[in-house]
Amino acid sequence: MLFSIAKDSLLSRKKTVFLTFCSLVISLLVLLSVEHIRLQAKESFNRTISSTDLIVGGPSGQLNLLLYSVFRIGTPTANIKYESFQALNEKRLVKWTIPISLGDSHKGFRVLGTNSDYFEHFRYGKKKPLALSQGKQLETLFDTVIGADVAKTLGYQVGDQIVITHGIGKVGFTNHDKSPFVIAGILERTGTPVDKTVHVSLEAIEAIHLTPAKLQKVIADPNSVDLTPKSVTAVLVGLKNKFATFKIQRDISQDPNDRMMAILPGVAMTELWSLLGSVENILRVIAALVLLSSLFGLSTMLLASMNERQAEIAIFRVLGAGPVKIMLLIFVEAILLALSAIIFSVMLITAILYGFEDFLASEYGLFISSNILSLDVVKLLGVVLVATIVTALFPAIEAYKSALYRQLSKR
Amino acid sequence: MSVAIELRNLKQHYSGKVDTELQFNDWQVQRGDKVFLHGDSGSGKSTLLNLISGVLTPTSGEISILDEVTSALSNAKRDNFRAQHIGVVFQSLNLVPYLTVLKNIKLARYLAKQAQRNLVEQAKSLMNQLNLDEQVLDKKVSELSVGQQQRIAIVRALINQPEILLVDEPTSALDVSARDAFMSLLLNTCNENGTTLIFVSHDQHLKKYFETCVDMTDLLKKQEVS
Repeated sequence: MLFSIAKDSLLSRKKTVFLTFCSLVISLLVLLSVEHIRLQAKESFNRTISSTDLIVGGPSGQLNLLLYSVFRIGTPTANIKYESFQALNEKRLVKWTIPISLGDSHKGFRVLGTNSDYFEHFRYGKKKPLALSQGKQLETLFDTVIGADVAKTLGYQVGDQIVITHGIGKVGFTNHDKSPFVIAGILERTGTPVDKTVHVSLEAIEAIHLTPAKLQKVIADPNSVDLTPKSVTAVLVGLKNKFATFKIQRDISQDPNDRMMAILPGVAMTELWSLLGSVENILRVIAALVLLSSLFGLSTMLLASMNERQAEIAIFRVLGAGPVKIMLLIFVEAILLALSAIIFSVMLITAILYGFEDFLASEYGLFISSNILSLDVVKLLGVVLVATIVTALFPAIEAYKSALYRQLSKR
Repeated sequence: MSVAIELRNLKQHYSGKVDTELQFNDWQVQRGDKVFLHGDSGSGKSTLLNLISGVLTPTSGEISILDEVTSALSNAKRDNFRAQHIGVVFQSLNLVPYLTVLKNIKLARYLAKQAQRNLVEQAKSLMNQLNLDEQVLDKKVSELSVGQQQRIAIVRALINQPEILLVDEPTSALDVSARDAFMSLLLNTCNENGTTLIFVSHDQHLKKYFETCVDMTDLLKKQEVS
């Protein structure tokens, strides 16, 4: 009953209530999206790579190497020799290696040249291996294995023929349309950049960069031309013993035969995250302040209405409502308004994220789930409700006092 | 016949710019009585109504309503007692303007902590007694005429079958013909429901509807200013 009265009371003051509602929704949108994107970014970020001890690449910055080898953002600046990769593979303390060759694309999705070790050793999330949802791994020269998003966006099935372009734009510099790749397998969704990647063999990368005449020969007979790669972009390395990490890292950077650098993914990730982290904290503080000002707006609105509601309070008193009940009515109104603003903004954000999910993932490598109700966000909403109750104390106490001293007829 | 309202040694003290004290003579109203209480504004009528309904607690003395000493009850109990046993109607602003008529009536039932069962039937039968169209139940209060609002206020005041109905200048917003119609409807309804009625007005013309007439000045002892 109190609930339904509060609803009618709010509806009777449509204009002020609507404006307060808008102000609450906007501030909640800011707060929720900052919080959600922060949590999602961190999660998506941290699940991208797992179990890898070192990433080896051409000398550049630690962040640059991390960004292009793991997140497929930016362009590789320098490659390392294929011999260096082979030497790395034979080191005593190295358990496994995954070579990565980047630089080509298929309809805007990055193409990654690698070998079967990728499917065997690559881990994401909580040490989860890659799994095929359909088809098989790379077997012949022109086999490709595509990520779940590639398959979904482009509508590919196992067995479809595709064309790989040189360069990484949506329209490549040269269409390698004489090299008919076949989709051999589709990976299960991982929520990492793997979903947006087209995997081919290292040899296939070599093949598409041959002259057209040579390429024809390869298509006719894959063994007629030597397709041993000359270089790879980066190598992911797993070690037998974590304590050897720094020794190997030093050895690699001091290798006399090639110019290389090795980074620890965990360290590089932390550095990248701390760059984002300070921005994130500023955003959170701003969002909290915006919300606070909206809640004060809500409380002001209720307080201002107290004057015109004197007669109403008198009626409630006549009917036997105690001051506590009148105070409760004000609380219910505040909570009702805040709750509907929360529900509306959650729905709005979900809708917006649902619409922009693919855009964010393909343009920024951000995998933002449109399901925003994580435990942290629900906790945050609880805090918002508590803050609403605290700010509603002002008008509620006013109502209580006014009810206490209110007499039946106004004279 | 038992006693509906009884005042004993009742005093109400006001502190303000000038401290004033109202001292009431002892007074009894029998159940089922219909009393016309006449007094000019400022004569203490409102204070008396506030005391009887229990919104105010007296400085000293006792008020018994239906053999219950309400002046000794706690605030919450007195509020509850009022909700269940006393109906009140003012000259205007009796209804919550943003609620429908039905919800206003439901609110009274809710605050009296009684079941909502049969509410609509009871409201409709009271509305019939007061010559109100049943259709107005679903209308917003603001859509009704003043006369309709006053009659709805009576329905709302009587919905919990209170033993006592306090009415304060209910006709001052009505024109003469509406006033006469309202008065006879009010008295008939009270008779049918056996309700004790205290009707407060400064309008001497309304005296003719009542057997018992009391003047405020007779109720008050000589005012002392301390």
